[in-house]
Amino acid sequence: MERSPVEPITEGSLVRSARGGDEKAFLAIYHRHRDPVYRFAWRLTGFTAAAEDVTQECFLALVRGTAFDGERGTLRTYLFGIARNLVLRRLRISGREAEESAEAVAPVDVLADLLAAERAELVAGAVARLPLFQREAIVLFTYEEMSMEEIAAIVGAEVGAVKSRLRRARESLHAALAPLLARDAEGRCL
Amino acid sequence: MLVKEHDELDALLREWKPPAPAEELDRRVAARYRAAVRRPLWREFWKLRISVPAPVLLAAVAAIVALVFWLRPTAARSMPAATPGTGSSLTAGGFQPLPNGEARVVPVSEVQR
Repeated sequence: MERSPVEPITEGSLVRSARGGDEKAFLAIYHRHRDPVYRFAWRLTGFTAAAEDVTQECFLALVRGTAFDGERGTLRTYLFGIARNLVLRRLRISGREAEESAEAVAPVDVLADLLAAERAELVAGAVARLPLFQREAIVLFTYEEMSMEEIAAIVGAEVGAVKSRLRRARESLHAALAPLLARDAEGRCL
Repeated sequence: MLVKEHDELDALLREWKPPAPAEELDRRVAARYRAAVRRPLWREFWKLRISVPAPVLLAAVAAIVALVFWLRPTAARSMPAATPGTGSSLTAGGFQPLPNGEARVVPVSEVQR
């Protein structure tokens, strides 16, 4: 979706300046990456206030935490990694719990909800019902248009594991949103 | 067919859009950043740098040297010459401390004796 084609060297020097107290450098980084980080946090937590808190802490961690190494990846994946850790801490969920709940996808009664809810809300509900590891994979892949390698770097998993999570997430979403997809198909046929 | 289904699912998923972050967030983040990078004043003092043009620096150094020269100690000043025919001397010969530190008035006649 919104990619930031910035050379890592430039971003590395910006981060160094920001860590040294250069507010302009910090704000340049912040305004370049604020929206993707916020969107990611919002889609994982489901709450505006939580997403704003995660966004704020994410950029402050860039200044106060371990120094960013441009040779180990892009600033974008680094920031998403921080944001992911903050979300996990916020949700108070361990990696094992998230993985074990992978099969426990609750079905969505789309037809019943259709009368009362917007389509976007149905999508949000379906994504929110995914296990965390699948949810973050689908959010990063579909909404942030990241590559498998980038997602693997952010979530600290193998590319194969990310592909597997993504495939299961899409299957679950397809099943959960099947009535909506069918209605869309009917609408196109008519 | 699979790709088409994916496209349809992607199109549906993209209908879920996040709200814009509050404007207050920007101010909050900037304020927190300033607080995070602020250092104690005494640490800032050791990093203080003053930029001075070279002519001003030379003039200041010259002024300081002149001031030091003007205020130097005057121990080597010559004493005024003594008037011929007069002299003064002070010796401690015959000095005796007063007993018990008591002072008494000595009449002139006793001194002459």
